[in-house]
Amino acid sequence: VMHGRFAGKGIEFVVIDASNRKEKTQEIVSEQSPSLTVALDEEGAAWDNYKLYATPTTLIVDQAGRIIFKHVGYGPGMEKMMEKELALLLRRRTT
Amino acid sequence: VKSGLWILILVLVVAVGVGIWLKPRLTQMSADEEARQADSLAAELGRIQDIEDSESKISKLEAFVAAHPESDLKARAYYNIGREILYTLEEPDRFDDFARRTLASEPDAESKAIIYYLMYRAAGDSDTGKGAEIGRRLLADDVSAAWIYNHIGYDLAEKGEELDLALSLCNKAVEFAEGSRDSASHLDSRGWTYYKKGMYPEAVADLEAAVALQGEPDEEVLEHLAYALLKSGQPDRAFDTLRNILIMGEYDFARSKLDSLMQVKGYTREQVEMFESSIWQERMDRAEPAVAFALPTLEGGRYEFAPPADEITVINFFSPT
Repeated sequence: VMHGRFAGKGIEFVVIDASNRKEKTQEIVSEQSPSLTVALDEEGAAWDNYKLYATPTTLIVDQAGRIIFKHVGYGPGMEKMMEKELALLLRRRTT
Repeated sequence: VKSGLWILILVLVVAVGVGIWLKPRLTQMSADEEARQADSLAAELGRIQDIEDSESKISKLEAFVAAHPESDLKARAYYNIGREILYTLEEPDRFDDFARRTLASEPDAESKAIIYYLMYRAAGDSDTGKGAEIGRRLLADDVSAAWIYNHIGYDLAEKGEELDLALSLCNKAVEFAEGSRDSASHLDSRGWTYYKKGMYPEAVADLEAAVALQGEPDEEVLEHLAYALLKSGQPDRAFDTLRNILIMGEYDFARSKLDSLMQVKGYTREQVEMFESSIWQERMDRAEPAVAFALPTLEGGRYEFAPPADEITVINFFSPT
């Protein structure tokens, strides 16, 4: 949902299905955000690379390729917080 | 006779040699076979979970449980049966019957824990008293799955209800989880329960132990620790803990608490700005490089992530429930 609000601001949103249940993922994504890029981590390669242990895990990677933010879980206030993070990152880039 | 004996010895030596050579290969093969079987069972369960019709899904899940009594996936199957009865069919009496039968007949701790979890969710969401009753039943039962004691204990503590029961449940969770990777989160729950009970030194001890056990700090544990430090008269240590949270991200509670602490300390505008830059600098210093990957997409294309990109990238690893 959030990616619409940041459209055109130089932020790419990617969802990685870490469940190997692509039909279910397809169903959810087409209901909520049909334009979102959804990649399938069928072999768990990306998962292993990032040493993850739970879903959902959200990462923000800046333009220099650094992981600026990592959060495990989803709770109330998460979206607002992500917006602040992205706004901060966009602001820091321009200063 | 002599040459026959030599041939026999030679045959024996070769047989032992072949045995030694084969054993690790056969063991590896059987480990691979086990992993393959586990994957195919998980896929089978996934297909059953996606069945639309509730009754047919439930009967297939029951058949799955009966056919794979030793499988680790049994608890997941029970969870899906219970969830279907409770939330899709909305038949609480049928669920009670299912829960009672399963608890009476099922020896597997994880499966029992899942049933308690569903029972607590069904009762405790609307009625704390009923939820506490489930907690008491769990305490009396001997289910060696730490997470369920932790779940109910923490939930009661967070609601500020039945704190003695919450503490007993958390104690049990800590005891069961000792030495496991979940120890930190169970110590966090118990620390938070102590905090809710006004036992601040005990809270600080548990929460500090939880932080020390965590490879990657967790903002929620640090938040609990900061509150416990404030209550136990250690504002400077609380300040540092909150600062560590902001290094992880723009977490609201840390931000607002730090703002008020800075006000109390009489920070000037310059000091606040210096503080902000130091946080940002530390975030940059700590940030690890992102790893490139390329994966197929849902639409049949390919997504390549090759940092550094020109854009900021938000990556969400997700699995549907």
